[in-house]
Amino acid sequence: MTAAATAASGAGGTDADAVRLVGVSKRYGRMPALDDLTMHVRRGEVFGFLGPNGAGKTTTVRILLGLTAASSGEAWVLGAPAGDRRARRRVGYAPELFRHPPWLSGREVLGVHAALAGLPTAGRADAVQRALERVGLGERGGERVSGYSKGMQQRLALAAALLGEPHLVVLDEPTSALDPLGRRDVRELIRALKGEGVTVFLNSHLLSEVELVCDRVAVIRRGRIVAEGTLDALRGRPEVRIRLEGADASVRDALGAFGPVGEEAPWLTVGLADIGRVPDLVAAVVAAGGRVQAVEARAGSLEDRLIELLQGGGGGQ
Amino acid sequence: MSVLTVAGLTLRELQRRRVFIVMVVITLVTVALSGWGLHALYNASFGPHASFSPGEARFGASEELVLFLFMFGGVVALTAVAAGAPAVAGDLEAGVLPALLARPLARWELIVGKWVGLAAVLVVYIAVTSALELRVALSIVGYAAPHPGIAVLSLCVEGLAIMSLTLLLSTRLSAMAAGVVAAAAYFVAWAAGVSGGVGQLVHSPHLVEAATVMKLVVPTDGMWRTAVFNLEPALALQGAQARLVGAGLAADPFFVSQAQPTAFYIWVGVWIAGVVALAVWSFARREV
Repeated sequence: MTAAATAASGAGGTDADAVRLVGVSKRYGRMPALDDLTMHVRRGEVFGFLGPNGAGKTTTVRILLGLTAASSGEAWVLGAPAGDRRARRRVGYAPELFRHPPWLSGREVLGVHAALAGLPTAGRADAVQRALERVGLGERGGERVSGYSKGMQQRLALAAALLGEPHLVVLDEPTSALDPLGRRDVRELIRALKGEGVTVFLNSHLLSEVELVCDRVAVIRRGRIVAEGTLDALRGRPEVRIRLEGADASVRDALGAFGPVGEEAPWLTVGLADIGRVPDLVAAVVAAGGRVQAVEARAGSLEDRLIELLQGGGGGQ
Repeated sequence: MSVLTVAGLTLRELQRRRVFIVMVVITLVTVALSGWGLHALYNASFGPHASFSPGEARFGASEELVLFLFMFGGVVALTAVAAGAPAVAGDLEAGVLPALLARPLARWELIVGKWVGLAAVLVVYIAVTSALELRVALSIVGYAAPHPGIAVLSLCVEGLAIMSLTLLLSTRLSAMAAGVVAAAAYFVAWAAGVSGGVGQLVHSPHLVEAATVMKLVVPTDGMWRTAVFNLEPALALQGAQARLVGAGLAADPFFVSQAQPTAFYIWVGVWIAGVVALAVWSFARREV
């Protein structure tokens, strides 16, 4: 995209956006990979990009990094057109397929990344060592990558993404080769990055991973965004289940005032706008003559919602 | 700056993959063998049972020199093909490139950096091996090639040409396919050069034209012939030009009786620059 086109579009990524995609489509031959993708990631947030394998997550990342050209639409990263060299200076990327030249040591791999990222020669060795230590490879940096386990290689990819004081870190399935301890380390790393004001774009098909660290998420299915928002918004409305005696019409009317009423015998269910209204609901039932035997309040299930979205049962933003 | 980083990475790969040490061993073995052969030639010419005239011995030394430099030229071409074919395609197949290209590294910098790294290896190898071989010929049979500098430069350009072509192919084909095509182009070009000589011998303008076209499409053989021309003794050239020696020499791939026209060298420069530019253009449009 030309600078003129960027200016003309007027949508070229405000300072508040680390990533912005507008109507981005991508086709491989006749096969659509992305279809009119529109979304944004605010600076400083941890953004989860959720979707099943083959949904278009990695293609999106590749477009953002300039590795692949969009067939149509516009994309910006850190206020510059996607792929722009100056923006890439401030982007760290850990690819899904974390391959490094096997004939280099871990430290040498990071040395190459540090040089390409434009780090001053004087500070490179320290920056490389800090990155190695941050991912738990401080003692193993001198070994050849060919001798690394898969988990170590993935940690090395994460270390490379941290070099050069990035403003945006793009992590594509960053825990695919890690054990539970490694996954916890990555979560802590993501939280630390957020604490430093770094925007994190987390590509994942692992709901648990996204749920634990992300501020907002977008869900992609077959190249289209089917939901975007905070985790709470995505979970949907919380639900209360109530078992009672004397569930006559007046009691049902009282429940209906709080939200849609359903029945899962012997329970009645009520969708609530706010989980904090459960005591008011119980008080209203009692006032209407109902005798409450049990109450269960539960937040909306992200997993249920996600499955619903990915099976095509939901949509919208 | 990024060009130098990529060039350094390319050199380090060749070193770590033991390409350097293999080249050094091949050079030493071959120089030793050629020294042995030249010594035998010396004995046959000047020993107690000498059977050659000094002029014949000088021509024989030049032919042996050409033969061994042809072998070195072949090693250079195969090294250029073997190292150039995976330079881009191999990295793509291994999945190494996305992380590097996500850095502020332009596609052209990657291609030019690879080219610079490979070119450095080829030029140093040719310069060192040629200097050694020329020195051995001088020391053992006292044969000094008339224009060694031009000959070495020609071999360098030949190596750079086939490496550039391989790099271009590597931006689009698999490493294996790029290597096969580049090696085939190199040998077809050489065979076309021989065929052109045969065409002259049998007075076939079509064969000569076909050889000329091939020489322009893949100019490696033209550069090889330039090297040979500048290694031969002046007397042999004068004899050939005065038709005092057999006309069959025209078809001898190890004897060249005429220099290439200046326009050819200009074309080779344009050709190499064009092929590298095409490689940059091709890779810039490649999905990674």
